[in-house]
Amino acid sequence: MTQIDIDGESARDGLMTLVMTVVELLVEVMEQEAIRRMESGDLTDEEIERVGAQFAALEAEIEAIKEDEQIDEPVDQLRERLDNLVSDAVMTMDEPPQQGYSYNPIEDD
Amino acid sequence: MEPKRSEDGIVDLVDVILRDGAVIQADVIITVADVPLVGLKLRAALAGMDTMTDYGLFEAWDTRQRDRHRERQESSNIEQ
Repeated sequence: MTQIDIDGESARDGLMTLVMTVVELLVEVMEQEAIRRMESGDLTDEEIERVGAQFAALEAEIEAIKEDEQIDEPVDQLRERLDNLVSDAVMTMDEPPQQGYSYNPIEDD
Repeated sequence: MEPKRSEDGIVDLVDVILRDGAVIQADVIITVADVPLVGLKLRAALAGMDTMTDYGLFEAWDTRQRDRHRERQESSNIEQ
């Protein structure tokens, strides 16, 4: 049961979990894009080096904060739920389009 | 960088959007009692810089930005 509690005692944990999850997702998306740019070959070696180092530092920082706040587990759970949400949406889109209107006249013999 | 489970995660979804790029066009008019009150004309392009520059968008800016950084680096190297 994952529930983000943003009142009472666990308010801080809940908010922290939410914020760190969003930050983590953003960083990962940016990393993917960085890899794409590196592979496309229009970045200089120095730029690749710099971006790589920056991301490594960011990741270390995120991990450290999660460790400090002890929200490793809740962040993973929230991510999993978000991922499932997306999978479900994608699965739904894979299905053939539903006909909004269908009319089967009853043939009178 | 540790490889994450590669299912249809939220990261993959956004990644696909950035990889291919997306253009959103919308015209919205909010009307009350048949009197139009608020208009919104939206045309947005969202893409990773790699795709963006492929389409020739932000290309000059991208080059300028990176050149500027290189110049800063060089001038600080000279000072040392």
